[in-house]
Amino acid sequence: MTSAASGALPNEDTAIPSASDLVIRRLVLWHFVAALTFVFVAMLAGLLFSFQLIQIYPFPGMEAFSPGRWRMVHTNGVAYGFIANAFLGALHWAVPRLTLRRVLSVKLSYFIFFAWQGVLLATVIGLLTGYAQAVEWGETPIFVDPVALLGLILVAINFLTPILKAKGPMYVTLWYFISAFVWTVMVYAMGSYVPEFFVGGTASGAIIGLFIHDLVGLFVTPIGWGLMYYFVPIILKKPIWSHGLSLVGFWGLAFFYPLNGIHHFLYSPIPMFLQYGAVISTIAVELVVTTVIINFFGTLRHRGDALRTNLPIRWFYLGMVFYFTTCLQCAFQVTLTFQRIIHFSDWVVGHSHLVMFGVFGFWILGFMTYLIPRLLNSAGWYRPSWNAWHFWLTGLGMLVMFFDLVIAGLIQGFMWKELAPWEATLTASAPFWLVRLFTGIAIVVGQLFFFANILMTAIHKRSIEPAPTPAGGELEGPSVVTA
Amino acid sequence: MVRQEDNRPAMSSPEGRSRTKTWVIWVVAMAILIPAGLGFVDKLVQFFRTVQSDSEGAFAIMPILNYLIIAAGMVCLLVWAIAHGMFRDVEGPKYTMLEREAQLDRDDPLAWSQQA
Repeated sequence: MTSAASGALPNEDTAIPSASDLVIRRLVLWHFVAALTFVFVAMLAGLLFSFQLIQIYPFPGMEAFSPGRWRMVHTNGVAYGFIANAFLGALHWAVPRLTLRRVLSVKLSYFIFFAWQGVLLATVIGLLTGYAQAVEWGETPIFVDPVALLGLILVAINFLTPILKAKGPMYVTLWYFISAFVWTVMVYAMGSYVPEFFVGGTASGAIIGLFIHDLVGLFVTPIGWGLMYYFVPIILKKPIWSHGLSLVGFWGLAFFYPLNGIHHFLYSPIPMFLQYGAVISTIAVELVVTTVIINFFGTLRHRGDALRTNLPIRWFYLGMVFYFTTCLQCAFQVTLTFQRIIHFSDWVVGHSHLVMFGVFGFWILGFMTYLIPRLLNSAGWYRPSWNAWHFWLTGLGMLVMFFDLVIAGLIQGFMWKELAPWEATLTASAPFWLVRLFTGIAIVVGQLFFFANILMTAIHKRSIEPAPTPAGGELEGPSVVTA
Repeated sequence: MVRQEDNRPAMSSPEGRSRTKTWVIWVVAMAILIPAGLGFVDKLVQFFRTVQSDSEGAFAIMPILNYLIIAAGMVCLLVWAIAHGMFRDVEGPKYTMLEREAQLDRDDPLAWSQQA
């Protein structure tokens, strides 16, 4: 009887369990497929909305297809369909390997998978039929929220059990994961229930501001960085430059980030000391982020060639550069001086696209590029060149979209400040919205290359011929033959 | 040839630290903590004044309360981590993680083929 069959894993003091005993590979793959399905739907929704901006919307007068509703499908699809599914898949890979223990219950993992897809489908149907809550990023219908919250609690229990049983000083990734599991439940409960049932008016606005930002900073950011601290060293086969510095980054995030959200409501009736507190803590987070970026670029020292030869590493580090850019942008845009110009403008849209897709989306695409052949039991991708097309179309599309929206935002902001007629600002914005549409098309085409490559890799699996173990050269591998 | 950096250095012991280094750490820590603490107290006083003076000022409690709940949880986690020796060998876990990964990949024939 194998240890896996008996439900017990070998004692870590005596033996390392096999990877196949620890990781439910099928479930990781399922989560990735679900994530890619939802990102495709979300991107189509974004594309649909961008047609509205250039006045060629294809479904005029149809309530369920109104641009406002599809915009919510776009944002919720990315946050809960794409990012949450991809993270759940990656967590099922990383947590058991880091702790040498399986998740609490494999059955619970499968249940969470199906329940989460049910939550997402109910959310999409609810949003399209007009049952949205008035909470940005938290528009999930009120009847979905209890189920989603229960799902998040189950996720926390399932992953926290092996983490808390692990012995000895913890690796930084696990610190990030522990906090993310606790924070996400709290943030989701706060955003879904407090503005709806407990407070109103300005207090509700303050809570919604906290929710928007905490969703990014206390759910997506800790899991995203936790996964980077895991994947970057194992791909580079080199430890992180300074584990101590990585802990500074973690604890800095823990104490500075939670107050940031109120910076969404500068110049509002919220007391100024709260607004200034949010500004100061946001600038403090930028300092913390700098330590994290220094740590990762220190890790890349003497291995810069990986940026050219290793596509997952390229995705990761481009995402990190974008992350530093968004945080630097944030440190400036939370000042009252910047807010006078950029508030309500496309600058903010460019910022949010860069952080949600340019950073976390790119990291997700990076670890999917690394893991998917392995999950499909293939020794490599069907066409590596298609992955390069995926990277360049997505990367350039994102970069151009960001600059396009930032410039559009500045033009809009200064025109509003000069009290230009509203129609004049629309006319000035139109060319930028057209460019935005084409960058969106480039990103969608890039994803099609990736989807086609996954499909063909699954159909034409590559087998492995035994080869001598490479002596230190991780770019060498076993010789590959197409099956 | 890839540089091998997984040679785990010996764990540094507190006894090995010089007295000067300890003093420098304390001075720098105080230089940061005292102004930050004074700023915090000042904001706290403003907070209580707002709550008491304005009939609608109590709404400020909710966002502050959310922050304090999260921050209090993190303080508890930090104290627990210190008490359980999580920071005694600060650099150790990064080597342990890589060693375990290498062991897990040893029996996986696909582990060497992960270059996209």
